[in-house]
Amino acid sequence: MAEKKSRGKGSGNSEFKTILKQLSYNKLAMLGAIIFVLELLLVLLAPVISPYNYEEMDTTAIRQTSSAEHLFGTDDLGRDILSRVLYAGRYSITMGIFSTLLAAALGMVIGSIAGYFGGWVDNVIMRFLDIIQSLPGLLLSIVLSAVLGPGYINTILALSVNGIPGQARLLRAEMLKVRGNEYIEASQSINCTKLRVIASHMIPNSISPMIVQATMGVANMIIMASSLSFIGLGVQPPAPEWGAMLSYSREFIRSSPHMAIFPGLAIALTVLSLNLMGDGLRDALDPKLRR
Amino acid sequence: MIRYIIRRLLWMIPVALGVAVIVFTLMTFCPSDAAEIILGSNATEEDKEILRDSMGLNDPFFVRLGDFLTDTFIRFDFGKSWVTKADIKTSILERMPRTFVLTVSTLAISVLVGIPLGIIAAINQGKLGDNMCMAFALAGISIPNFWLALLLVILFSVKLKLLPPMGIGGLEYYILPAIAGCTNGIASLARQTRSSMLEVIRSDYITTARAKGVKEFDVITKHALKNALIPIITVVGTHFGRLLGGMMIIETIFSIPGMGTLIITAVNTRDLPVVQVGSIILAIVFSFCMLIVDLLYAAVDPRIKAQYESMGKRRVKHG
Amino acid sequence: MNRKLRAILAMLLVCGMLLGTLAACSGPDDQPDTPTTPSNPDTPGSDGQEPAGSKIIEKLDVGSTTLWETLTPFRNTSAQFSTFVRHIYDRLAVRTVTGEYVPQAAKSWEVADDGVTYHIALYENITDSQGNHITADDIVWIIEENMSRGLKPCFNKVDHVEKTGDYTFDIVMKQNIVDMLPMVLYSTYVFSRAAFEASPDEFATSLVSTSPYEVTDFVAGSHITFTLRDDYWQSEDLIDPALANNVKVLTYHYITEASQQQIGLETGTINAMGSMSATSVQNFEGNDDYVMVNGPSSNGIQLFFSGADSKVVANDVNLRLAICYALDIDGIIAAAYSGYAEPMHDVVPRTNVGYLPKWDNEEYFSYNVDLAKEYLAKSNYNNEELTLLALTSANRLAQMIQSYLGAIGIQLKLNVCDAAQWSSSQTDGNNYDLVLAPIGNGLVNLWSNRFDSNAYANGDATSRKDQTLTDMLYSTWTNEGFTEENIDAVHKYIMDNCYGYGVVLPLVTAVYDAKLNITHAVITDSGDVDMAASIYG
Repeated sequence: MAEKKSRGKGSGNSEFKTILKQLSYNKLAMLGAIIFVLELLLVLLAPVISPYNYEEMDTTAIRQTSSAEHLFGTDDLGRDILSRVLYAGRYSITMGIFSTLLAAALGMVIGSIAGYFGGWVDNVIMRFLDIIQSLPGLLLSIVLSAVLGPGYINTILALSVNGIPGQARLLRAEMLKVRGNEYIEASQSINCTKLRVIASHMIPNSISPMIVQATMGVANMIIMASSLSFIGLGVQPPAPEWGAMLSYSREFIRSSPHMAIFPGLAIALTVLSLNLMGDGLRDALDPKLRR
Repeated sequence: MIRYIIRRLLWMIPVALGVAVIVFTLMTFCPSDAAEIILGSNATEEDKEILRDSMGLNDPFFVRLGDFLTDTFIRFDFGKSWVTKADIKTSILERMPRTFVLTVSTLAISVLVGIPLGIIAAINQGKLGDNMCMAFALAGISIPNFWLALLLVILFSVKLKLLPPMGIGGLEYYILPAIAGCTNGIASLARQTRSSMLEVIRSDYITTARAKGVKEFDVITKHALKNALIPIITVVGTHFGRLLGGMMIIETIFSIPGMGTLIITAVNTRDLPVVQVGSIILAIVFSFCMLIVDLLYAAVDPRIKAQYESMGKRRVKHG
Repeated sequence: MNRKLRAILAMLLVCGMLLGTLAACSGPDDQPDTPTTPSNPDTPGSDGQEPAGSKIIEKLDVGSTTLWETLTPFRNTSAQFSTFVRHIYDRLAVRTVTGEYVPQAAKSWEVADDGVTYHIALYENITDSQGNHITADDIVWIIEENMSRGLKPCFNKVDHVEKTGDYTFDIVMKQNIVDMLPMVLYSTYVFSRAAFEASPDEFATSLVSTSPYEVTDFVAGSHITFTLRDDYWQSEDLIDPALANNVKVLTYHYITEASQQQIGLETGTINAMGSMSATSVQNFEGNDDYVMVNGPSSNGIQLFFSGADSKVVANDVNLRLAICYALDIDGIIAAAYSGYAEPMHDVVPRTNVGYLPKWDNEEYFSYNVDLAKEYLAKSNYNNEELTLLALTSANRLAQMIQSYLGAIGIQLKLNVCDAAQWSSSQTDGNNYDLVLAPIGNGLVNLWSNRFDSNAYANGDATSRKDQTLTDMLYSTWTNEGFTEENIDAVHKYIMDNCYGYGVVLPLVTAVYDAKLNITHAVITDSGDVDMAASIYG
């Protein structure tokens, strides 16, 4: 990739605009973005548009397939699956987003500190990240989940640890690039603090790759959350979550496959659209593919 | 080169220690009572206190940490599982090979399917071939593994009666689990292969090769692929690491007693010694794999080999 | 245009795969019947009914949900009550489905007048597979080892053991509690001390045992294979029918995944599945190729109320009664257990010794929403949010309880957690208002587990300090005090004060291939079918 010229503070915005413009040429990525936004809307409006409450049990209508009253059918306790899928989306998608945001924030802080101070601070932090990365991701989340206990917030914390090393390394690399630039010294001579200058140059440049990583990260977190539910950790019932619904439906896969199809489709759709968006963003950032 | 390898091997020791300390500290904060787990809810408080004392659970944190580290790293005495009383070393030695075989076969399928898919997609960029291959790949990551696993079992074991549905034995027992687990790998590899091939295909030496009249097949495989290999190898390596830890689900469904099920059961029962030792072993195996990946880089790209060799000689300052 | 194709193709592929499940997924019975009360093909004979001799089966594969990691005898595991443990070890005495203990290695046992000393007589011809002869020395050593290792709680109740003859010894208990000695007899595995000490890993991977079977293949976490010995020490006519051995080579496979249990049966990987999950069992209903046998579990699911003063339910009997009357047990059985459960009539399940059959005819908190609302009105409930602590295995039940309580106006928050977390929270009543627990394994065990005010620092397992109840318990569970009258009195006291509520008794279902032609299925004390002891026609 060609060396990006660091520009002044104001250029951050135009860089953004260029990327968005590039993105709009990519029909596929736009499709992904549209699907994702639509999904977000649907799940945000879940309390308004769901036909039933997600906890409502109708013991006379157990494990029914799709019908007029229950578009997606009912589960083994007589609850409407469409409503549960919509509500579950709120938990699943927000868990993915928040854990990624948390990972990005923490990663940014850690990576910047490592890059800025250099020397032994950098070494220690990098080794620490090495150690965390040498543990298979799912395992680390599982152990954390066991320690923190089940629950929405705890799961977000447990999941976010996975994204931290990646984001931290990114930020560190950016920080190192920027730190050595001459205009830093030049700015210092006119009394701007070193930190402020660095921040104003580093952040706009690093945002783009961070966003790409974050987009893929959200998809990964959603899948990891569903793996946690498989094992029995994660969000507590009766709060619905796509992964939990999917895992729960394993027992019924022979007799009532519809219980597995709809949460599965929901996860698939979300992950797909996020990946399309991520791919598009990555292409948009690549100056060689610029149009 | 040798110096580089030795440095990397030595580096695994602090990593293992670090993992040990981190996991031990984390698990210590688990809000659970080991005595209750072992004795069951039918035991009295007195019984549990007796057991806690005998297991040394009431000792201060650093004493226990010290004991654990000396036992594990100096005496190689991994102890017994708190819950099952099985010898941990024996359990790991029995189970690690199975997880390994499973991981390797899954990886093999991912490589054998993913890379060609990526190549075809890159060659046919923008056309039907590209779209079909990437669609297949993307569909792969979107489908949850355990779900695909059950579908495969129903199709191949129940309906077609071709393969065993679960258990361990010969190689045929690993086929369905490997297919179930490979979808993620196929997707990542196809994607990465496609994008690195695309970058390489546009470069000058490819045009030169074509101009020289080299056969297209050779252009793709000998020239393009070889240069595109580095990021692909990275993906293979990191994927292997993720697989190692993520096999638990496949193992549970197919009743394969591997490292995954060992650790899951241990976490669920808060069986600290097993979780700790298991994590350390997995971390070490993973580091070892990353070393092999880095060595493969050197084999593929002589520039990188030179870089490794120079690393040993003088430190290159960043910045 | 072609670019869009990619996304559409991906979605089509995904949909195709998903829809493929609809085609591929049909259980052996496409239209499951509405669950009716399951029934046994043959009521298990209690003592006296000696079924005719059985055909000997050459090879049998059985699925099991019990994990067996090591063969070593000195450890505590919930799996020790599993059906196949008797093939690994002989015990001094064995518990049958009626809750009675029958002799195995111990010929007889009787209690002395002091109520704490028991005289045990051993069979004199016990040998293990290597030919070692077992004497009282071995048994005394085994019991003392158990005591010193402190792993099985029942051994903490033993004061000391003394040998009184080559084949006789005394066990002196610390307290006069009925049912404690039989647990010790049940938990004492019989083997030769010399053989044990000669083993390099304390029998962990291979053992020398006195049981009728030899462990010929053991892969931890996967399967365990037993082969019938021809030199078993006990003579045929002295073997209790519950301990018969009609299978030559018996393999137990560890299968946890519910759908795989079903698939295993369909593909012939296993011929029988013990403790199959209720959801999978439904797929076999109405299918004549398979036979289903139900047995009651030894543990019921009970709801206990916190006795901690910080909790609203602790001192408000009207609130507790309201909660009990608000639960529709029939609805719960139909939905959460797919019909495979029974209602209870006391906190103690009917399978436990001490349960009085006359309780079955009593009214026990039948579903009555109006009555529940009445009690709620009389109580001091002021829309506080109550918490229910439950295990993930009781997930569905917990959610249904939440729904029923919501229907009468009680706000309930669920705290569903895994076994480790649950067990660390459940003994402190300050952590919850209600707790769902799977307790059983003996009436005395349940009482001492739950209602003994001296058990924990804060009181009993729910942090309640009811000295009246505790005194009643202490006087009832002695050898002399264990009378119908006293037991009934405790039952009434607990019911009137609504300290606990027996919600359901789950049924354990075993499903096996009809071709096995089992004419009499022997059911164990945990509700499972003992495949080796059953009679094959």
